[in-house]
Parts: sequence; C-alpha cells; structure tokens
Amino acid sequence: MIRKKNILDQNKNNTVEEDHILVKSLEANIEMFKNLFRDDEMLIIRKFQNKYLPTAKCCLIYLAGMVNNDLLNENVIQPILQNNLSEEIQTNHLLEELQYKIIVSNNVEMVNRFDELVATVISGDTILLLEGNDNALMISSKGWPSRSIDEPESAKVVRGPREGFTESIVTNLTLIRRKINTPDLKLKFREIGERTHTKVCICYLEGLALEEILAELEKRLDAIKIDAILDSGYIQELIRDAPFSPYETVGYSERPDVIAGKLLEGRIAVVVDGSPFVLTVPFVLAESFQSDEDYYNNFIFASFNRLLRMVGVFVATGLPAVYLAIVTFHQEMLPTPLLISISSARQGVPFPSAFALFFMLLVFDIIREAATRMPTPIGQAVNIVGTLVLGQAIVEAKIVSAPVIIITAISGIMKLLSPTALGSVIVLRLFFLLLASVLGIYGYIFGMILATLHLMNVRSFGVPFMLGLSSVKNHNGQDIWIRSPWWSMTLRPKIIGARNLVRHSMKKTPGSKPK
Amino acid sequence: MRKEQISDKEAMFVLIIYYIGSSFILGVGGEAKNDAWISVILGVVMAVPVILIYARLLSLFPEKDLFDILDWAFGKWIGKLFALVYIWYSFHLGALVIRNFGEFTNTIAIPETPMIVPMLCIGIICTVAVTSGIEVIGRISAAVLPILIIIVSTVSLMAIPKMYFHFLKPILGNGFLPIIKGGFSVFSFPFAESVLLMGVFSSLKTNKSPYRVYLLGTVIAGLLILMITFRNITVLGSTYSKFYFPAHIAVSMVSLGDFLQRIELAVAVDFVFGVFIKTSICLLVTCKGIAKLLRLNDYRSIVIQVALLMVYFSYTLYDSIMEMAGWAFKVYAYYAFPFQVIFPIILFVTVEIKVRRGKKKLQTGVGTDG
Amino acid sequence: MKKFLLLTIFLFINVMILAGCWNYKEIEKLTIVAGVAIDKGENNPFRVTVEIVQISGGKETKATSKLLTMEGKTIFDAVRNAISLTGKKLYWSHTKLVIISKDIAENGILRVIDWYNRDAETRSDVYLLISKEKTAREILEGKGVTDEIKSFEIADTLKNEKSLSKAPTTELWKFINDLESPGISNVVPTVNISTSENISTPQVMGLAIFKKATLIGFLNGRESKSVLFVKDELKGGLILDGVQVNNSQPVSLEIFKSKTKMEPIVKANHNIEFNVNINTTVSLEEIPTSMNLTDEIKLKKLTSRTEEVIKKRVGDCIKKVQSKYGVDIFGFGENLRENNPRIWNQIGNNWDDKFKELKVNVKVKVKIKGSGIFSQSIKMGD
Repeated sequence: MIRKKNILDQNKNNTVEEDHILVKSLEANIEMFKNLFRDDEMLIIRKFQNKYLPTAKCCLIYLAGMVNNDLLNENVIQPILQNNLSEEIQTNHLLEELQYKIIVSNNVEMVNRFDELVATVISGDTILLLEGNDNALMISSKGWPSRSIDEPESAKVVRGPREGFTESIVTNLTLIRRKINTPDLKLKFREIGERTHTKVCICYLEGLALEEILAELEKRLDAIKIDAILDSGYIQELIRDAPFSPYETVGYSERPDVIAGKLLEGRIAVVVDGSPFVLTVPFVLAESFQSDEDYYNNFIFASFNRLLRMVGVFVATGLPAVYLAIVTFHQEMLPTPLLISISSARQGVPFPSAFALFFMLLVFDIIREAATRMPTPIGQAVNIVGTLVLGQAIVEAKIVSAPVIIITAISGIMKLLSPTALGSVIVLRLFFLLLASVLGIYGYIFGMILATLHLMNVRSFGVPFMLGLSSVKNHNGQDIWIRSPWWSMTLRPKIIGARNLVRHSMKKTPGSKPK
Repeated sequence: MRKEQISDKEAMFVLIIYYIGSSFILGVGGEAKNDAWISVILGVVMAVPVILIYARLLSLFPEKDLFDILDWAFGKWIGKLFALVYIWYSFHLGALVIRNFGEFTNTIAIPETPMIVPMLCIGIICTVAVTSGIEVIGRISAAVLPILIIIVSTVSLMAIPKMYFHFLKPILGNGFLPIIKGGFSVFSFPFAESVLLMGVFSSLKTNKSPYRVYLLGTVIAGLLILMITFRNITVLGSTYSKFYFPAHIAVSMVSLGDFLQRIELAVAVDFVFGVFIKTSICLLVTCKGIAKLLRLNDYRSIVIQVALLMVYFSYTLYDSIMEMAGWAFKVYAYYAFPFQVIFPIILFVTVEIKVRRGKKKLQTGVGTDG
Repeated sequence: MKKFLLLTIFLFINVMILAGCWNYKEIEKLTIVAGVAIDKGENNPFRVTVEIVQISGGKETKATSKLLTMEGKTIFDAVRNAISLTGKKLYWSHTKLVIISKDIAENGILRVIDWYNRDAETRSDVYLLISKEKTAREILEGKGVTDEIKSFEIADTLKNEKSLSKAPTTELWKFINDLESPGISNVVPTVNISTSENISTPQVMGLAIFKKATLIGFLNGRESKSVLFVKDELKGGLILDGVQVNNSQPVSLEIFKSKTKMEPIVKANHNIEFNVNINTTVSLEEIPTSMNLTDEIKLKKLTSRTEEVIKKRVGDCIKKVQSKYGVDIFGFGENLRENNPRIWNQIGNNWDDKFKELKVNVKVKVKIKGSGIFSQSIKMGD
C-alpha cells in the first residue's frame, strides 16, 4: 500500500502544478513546453510572423499526427500570415482580435493556465501563443486516423444494421445519438485512469433509467483508482457485482442498435474511449440469450432461436456430465442396444471415460483458443487439424471412444450458440463433470442446485440476475423465454424500466379490421 | 440488513415442495394397503384444522415467527423451553429427511458409495441455501416446482399403460381401521410437519395470507400426493406397502417403447430437490431458533455448525434401513404428535386467551422481548 | 465466511477424489447378463446358468452370447460364485428373463425368485418362464433365429406375444403380486425347444399352472388362448386353426380386440355363479373357399359358428382346469373379492374347493369387422 502511494507520488513530479500560468515572453513559454515534452520529438513548435504586423509573432504548438494538418494550414496559419493585420487590428488586444476575426475554427478558447494547455495539446488540439501575451488560444484541431465504421466481427447479423462501434468515443456517441433522437439522452463524462485519462461517458435516457442504479453506477465509477483504462473490459470488471462469479454481471455490445435498445429499456450504458465495446448495466442472465436479430426477425422464428440458445447452454453444460453419469454409474438407464454399442466402442480404450471427457473438452477448448487468435487461413488449418486429424485419429488409435468425441462436439457447438455465456459455460461444465464423476447423476443434480442457488443470489446493480427467468407470468417474461411480438410488448421490464413502464400504447394486433 | 420477504406464491411453493419432498418417494399411508389413496384424502382433511391453527397464529402475529410467538405467549422461561423443544424437532426432522435420502442412495441409487457422502452433499447445499436466506429458497422453489410437477405428471401419464385399475378394488376391503391408521400417518407425515414452517413464514407479506398459503398449499400438495399414491397402487398392487421406496419401483416399470425405459432417475431428481428444500427449511428453523435462544444477531453465523451436526446426527440415527422403516411407519406418527398437535393447541389456547384479555397488548407488546 | 465455504467445498471434493470412485464402473467392464436359467445342481441345490453378452469392439459392433454355469447353496451364492469364473461381477440391470426348470418349479420357486426380487440391481419386470425341457439350460443352448442372444429373442417373442396369444406373459413382480393376493393362481408361460432342419430354437408356447408357488401342471397353446380369453388379456392372435362352416375349409379369423367381462352372481346360500361375457371383434384374414363376403346370411352363419367354437373351447378349458388342477388361474376369486368383498370374506378361505364346483356361464359375442383389403374371396375364372 505504501509503496503504491510512493509510485503515485513519483508520477506527480512530471505533471504540471495547477497554479502554473503563462508568462508574457513567447520564448519563455515555448521553453516551458519544451521542458515538459523533453524527449518527445512529436511535439511540433511552429513559429511564424505576420508580414504586415511584425509584433504579431505567433507560435503554434501541437503534437504531430494528432491534428488535422489541412485545417491548421488553411484556417489558422494562412489567415494569420497573409492578412494585413495592421489594417484589421485596431485595438491592443491582438490575441482577442485573432480569436474573433482571423482564425477560422469552430472552437477557439482563451486560456492562461499551463496545465490546461498541456491537456489540450495531449488531446490533439493546437495552442497558439503570441509574443507579449500571457494568454494563449486553444484551437480545436483534432484529427487522427481512426477506423471507419464497419460491421463488427464479433457480432455479425443476417438482418439488421451493419454498423458497429469504433475506438473513438465521439463516433460511438454519435452512433447512439443517431438512433435515439431525443434530448432525454443524457451523456455524463468523466476521466478515469491516472495515467491514461481515458474518457468515460455514462449514457442514459432521463425518465427511463432508475436513479438508484445511476447513482450506484456513478459511485462505483468514482471509486475506481487505477492508472490505466485501455478497454471497457477494465471498467466492466471494476464495477461488477459478484466479482468471483463466472457469470458476467455487466453486459457489453459492439452494436449501436443493441445499445440503443437497452437504453430504451431503461438500462444505462457506459462508453469508454478507445474501446468499441459499450457496457450496459444492469445485466440479467436472460440477456445472454438475446440477440439483436431476435427483434428484427419474425417473432416466432426469433423465439425459436432464443429457445435453441437456452437449450444450447443447458445441453453444453450438462451433456458431458449426464453422459458420464449414465455411462459409468447408471447403465440401467441405457436401452440395451445403446448399452451394447457404447460398450463395444469402449472396448480396448485404456483411459477411463471421466478422464477421456476431461481431456477432450480441454482439447476442444485448445483448438477454439488457437483458432480465435489465428488469421483466418491459418485458423482454418487449425480447425482441420482439430477435427479431422485429432478427432479421427484419436478414435482410430483407441485413445478415446467415439461417443466421447460426439458428446464433446455437441457440447462444444451448443456452447457457441450464446457467445456471451461462454466463460460461465466452460467453468460450469467442468464443475458438473467433476461432480458427476464422483456421485453420478446425483452429483450433477447437486451441481445444478448449487449453480441455481448462486444465480439466485447474484444481483446486478440491485436487480436480481435471474429476473424473469423464474416465472413466465407477468410482462417481465415477455422477452425472456420467447420474444413476444412488438405489438404485445406494451410495457418495459418492471424492475429495470420502472420509472416509465409504458413502452407504447398499441393495443391491437396489426392488420385487424377496425370495427 | 435488508428485511427478507417472500411472496405468497413463493411461500406456497415452498410449502408444497416441503410436503411432497420425501413423501413422493417414501410413499404414504402404507397401512391402508390399496386404500392408501383414501388415507391421503383423510390425512388432508385431518390436517386442515391443525393447519388452520398454524395459520391463525401466524396471522395474529405478522412478521413474528414461531419462536417469537412462543416467547410472547409463555413468557421468558417456559417460552424458551418450548423453543428448545421445537429446535429439537426441526433438527431431528431435518436429520430424518437427510437419512431417508442417504438410505435411498445407499440401497438403490449408488449402493457402493458410503452413505455419508451424499448426505454431506445435501448438508453443504442446504448450508449454502440457508445462508442465502429464505428469499432465495422461495425463489428457487418457485422456479423449480413447475418443473417437478411436469416431470411427475409426465412420468405418471407414461405409467398409464402399466396401471391395473382393479388393484384399487375392493375399496374399503379391509375395513375402516387401516384407513384411519393410514390417514393418521399421512396426517403426521407429511402434512402436520408444516408446523415448522411457522418458523419461516414470518417473512410473509400480508396479514391474511397465511390462511391462503397454508390451505391452498396443502390442497395442491394433497392432490399431488394423491396422484402419486394412486399411480403407485395401480401399478404395484398390494405389494405397494412392502417397498421402502415404492415410487422408484413403480416408475421403473414404466417404459415408452423400447427406447425410453427405466426412467426412475426422473423420480430421483424430484426426490433430491424435495429433500433439499425440506432439509433447508428444517435447518433454517433450527438455526433461527438457536439464534433467538442465544440472542444472536444473525442466524447465519451458526448455519455450518448446525448443518454438520445434523448430518452426523442423521448418520448415527439408525443402524439399518429396516430400523428406519420401522421408525418411519410405526413410531414417527406418535412421536411427532405432541409437536404437531398438542403444543400448537396449547400455544393457540394461551394466545387466544391472552389476546382476548388485552387487545391493545397485541399491537404494542408483541415480541418486544425477542 | 465465503473463504471458509470455498475451502470446505474444495476439501470435500478433494477427499472424494482421493477416496476413489465408489460406484464408478466403466461400461465395458460390465458382464451384461441377458438371461438366466435355473436348474437343480448336481451337488448343490441350485445350478444357475447365465447367458452373458460378449461384446467385441472394432468397426462394427458385435454382440455374441456365451453361457456360464455355476452352482451354489442359494441363488445368490451361485451368482456370486460367478466372480471366480469371470473375474467380474455380473451386471443384472439389463436381464430380460428368468427361466426356471420343471424340477425346481415343482418344489416351489419362492426361494428362487426372492433374491431376484429383492436385490436393487436386478429388475422385477423381467419375464418369468418355465422350461418344458429337462433343464432350463437347454433353452439357452438353442440357437437364435433373429438375434444372436437367445434371451433377447425370447423377450422379443414375449413382447410380440399379443399378436399370437398362445402363451401369457408374466413379469416377475406380477407373479409375486398375484402370489400374495388371494383368489388367483399364477400362470407362467412355458418354453420348449423346437427343432427344425437341425436347428433347435426356443419356442414359447403354452403355460404352466402354479398352486401358490408350486408348479402343478401345463396347458397347451390353444388352451392358453382360452385362459387369456377369460382373463381378458387377449389382445390379438388368430382364432386357432380356423373356423369351419359346413365342413368347408377352415377360415382364419384374426382377433382385433376382445373384451371379457366377468360378473359374479350371488345366489341364495352363498352359492355363486359366474357369467363370463366375451366380446370379440375379428377380421377375416384367410378365406380359402369362394364365398361372397357381402352376403349377410353367410356372414351371420360364420359369426354364430365362431361364437360356438370359442364358447366350447373356453368352456372346455375351464372345466379341465377345474377338474384336473383345481386352482383358480382365471381370477374368479379375485374378481369376487374386488367386487363383493362381503361375500368373499365369508367363503374366501377355501376358495380352491369352491372353485372346483363353480358354475361358469360363458357367453360369446363375435363381430366381424373387416376382411383385409379384399371384399371378395378369390374366384377362379372359368
């Protein structure tokens, strides 16, 4: 603890004291900047002078690569250089005249505090210093290369908007704002990270989001004391409930339409600069099974897909354990022909079924992990090795029996149906398998009860994690097990959107004849 | 700490699972042989007045549990004595239920595994549940009961081809006495065991609801048990009462085509879950009682200790399954009678007299001592 | 608190793993018993033969049958002795049938089936069979026609018995159930070896009559059908060797469904008569002679003739059982007990004596429902 503090103190040495302000001498000011950015060769100091008014000795300071060069050339340097300043400037307040009459930029401010100026330079804007002036102009000139908006790799859709968030917080907020055109959309900024000063924006709809949740979120964000935030994943882990749980209790998405949908249900989004993943709270388990496409497709089809995903998670976690339990504990459950065929597949296999299952599940995850990081062509090669070579050969060589491969494959595919739940599925699956290898099906049931107890205990920002899953009665359940048609979902989920429950007031089925 | 509350529906579901927990697999009313289903009806009818007493007590003292009421009714010392008696009963009942489960796994399910292992597992799960509190138990019951009912009904429907309805005849063939005996045993196990739920239903929401919860819960559980008993009798006939775990045997006869057969594990799922809820309730009541008795702030600090004690106690309860069956079918009804009927009636009379004498004491004085 | 809990769980899991896996047994290590035959031993009271399924791995699954014989003082003793032969415990959950030899059955089979019924691994819904051959083992020695494993084949036979109805099917638990309930005696299907073209295969045909748990006699296949008629267990099968009308060629009638109602008639002085009403729906399956099936008179004739045949056969069968064996295998007593427990309590004690003189009125009603897919019999052209 003490050591940590020392390190933090050391960090302070390099920063600027708050009350430091500019002096009148241009050279002295430049010297100050040069001192601060000692070894930073990206700092550009461009001095120039108006030919008509020699007193107008100016200096632009900015970081190369962070600014839009054209903008600076045409709108700042050119007007100051070429205009006849002696004619145009009547007063002694040269700097103000420059600000009001000469510089063509949408955002110019006058500042004299050194720390603010430094922050401006770092964030990509330009400052203009003038000889004999202890003030400077901050000129908005941000312009760095960034990725264009394209379809996110992680969440492709067949039907639905194809835009995804980028790394720029401004772009991201714009994307959200374009979906929700209302002044109710509130954006609260703050900076987190003592070294990175990452911009974080809390985004919510006033009148929908619960104030308690908002207050709790702000409290948790304020409590973060960390040196760097490089991705929203940092924040996600730092504000979540049940920190030891394998389940995610903070949601995330790369798609503006998803975030907009969640905001409209009363959730709160956290946009982090530098990360294309936007967080949402509160997050409930049912959201793991929702996909944005559910809302664009026919509701029957969408409900079917959603049920598939739920069954997928259930099967992915339970199948290896149940298989192991039946095959090694409760053989009487198997129909006789199946018993004979499994038994024959196991002939000559030296390893116990339990070990084989653990091993194969591990292999599957290794292949998955390997293929994720690889570029696509190599990834395919990994897949081929995994499926053909390993799968085929391992059975032929009698190291693992064929049913085990089948079970692993089913479980592996099923778990990919809902990618958000992946982490928890992998953990739970091993846990269940372990219990089942000791107590058979009873172990699996014990595991299920424990998992359910855990889920029942977890809350995300005060909202029960199992919200809606344990009952199908009220309108909370309309969008849980199935996706009800839009005309019937007149209310928002009760706990999350409690401040304004009415979503819309269409009562009738579309297409019904007026009476 | 936040006040724990469960809705009426959850309370009812807890009650239902509590009833059907071990009776689903142990079978009830074996004394009456093939008239056991009449015994079930009789048992429910007999249980209703007692249950009304429980509900009346609860509705008189909203937000107070059994131990608070005992304290209020009998004063400090006698109240504590009664509290001790009920702590013992819930502790013992919990141990009995765990033991039933242990014997089940030991004779039928996983005979080579030492009995203590599954029992300890149940103990651990119950510890987690009780530490989580009644709210979580309520929610998990509400989530799982529908699944249990679906499983049981499906299995029972599948058993229809194996049912011999003439096994039910002759109705009243052995006269009334066995039926009354059976009814009495159904009354004491499981219906009047709901006396312990007075220890947890302090978290109910409204004043009127204990009646609704208790009566509706009892009737629904009664119907379910009736259905199961009916299935067991029609499938197994007069041998019904000879099995330790008739439901297991009855379901093992069921098959759907060649593929779906030997589905008795489905029954085991119900059983495990029922045992889990029932033991959790017993554990919760025991811990709450001890906490009240020793004036602890929170019962959670003693859950693990009590749970472990309960498991070991249940492990030493009997020597064999024969002894367990003898106890369960012959002794238990008489042993439990004071806890289920006599003490509640004494409590009820005392409370009624006290309440009638000084109405205003009810509003102000209730449980100030606790 | 949380750490403590985690630690407990962790330790617990550890202990469980270290202590070994109690019930964990690999599927290929099981010696699956398909069927069991019980004989008298040479030196011991019992000789138990089990048919075990031998599974060989490889590309295609191959299951072959192998017989294993061991002796013991009790059944369980013999069964456990198997370990000394196979090195593995036998696995009983998939056993389909128990065949008991005549010798054993004649001395009572209670001590044979008790272990089987009591053990947790064995299943009480196995089929019970009595071997008509000298030993029960011979049955399993025969060769299967459709299945390598004879026990499975016999089990299939019994499962499909309902469209043959020449033998009852008796599951072990039902046997015990009827053994315990007064007023009904057990029948168990018999199995014998039929040899054709030098291949001997097991054949299920006829039934064995038990008095309590002791074998006292046999009925053949045709009589079995009559028994099934009375017991209302007939679900299909032919009305055997056809029905003749006016000395013509016999006609095959297949039973569609049959319903039998038994009703006791209590006369004065506790004299009891039984009415047995048989309602059968049949369809014509084979008509060798030319006959216009749409001809109502002819159909009526056929119907009444069929009714007569059934009535005679059933009546004869009941008489035979009454006079020869004197045990109520039809369940008249059970019926009386269930429907008229008051009377039963007075006369039920010596029911077998009563049964011998019981008057049974058989009434048969036959309905011909269809004639396959043809409306006419085949007529030869001129």
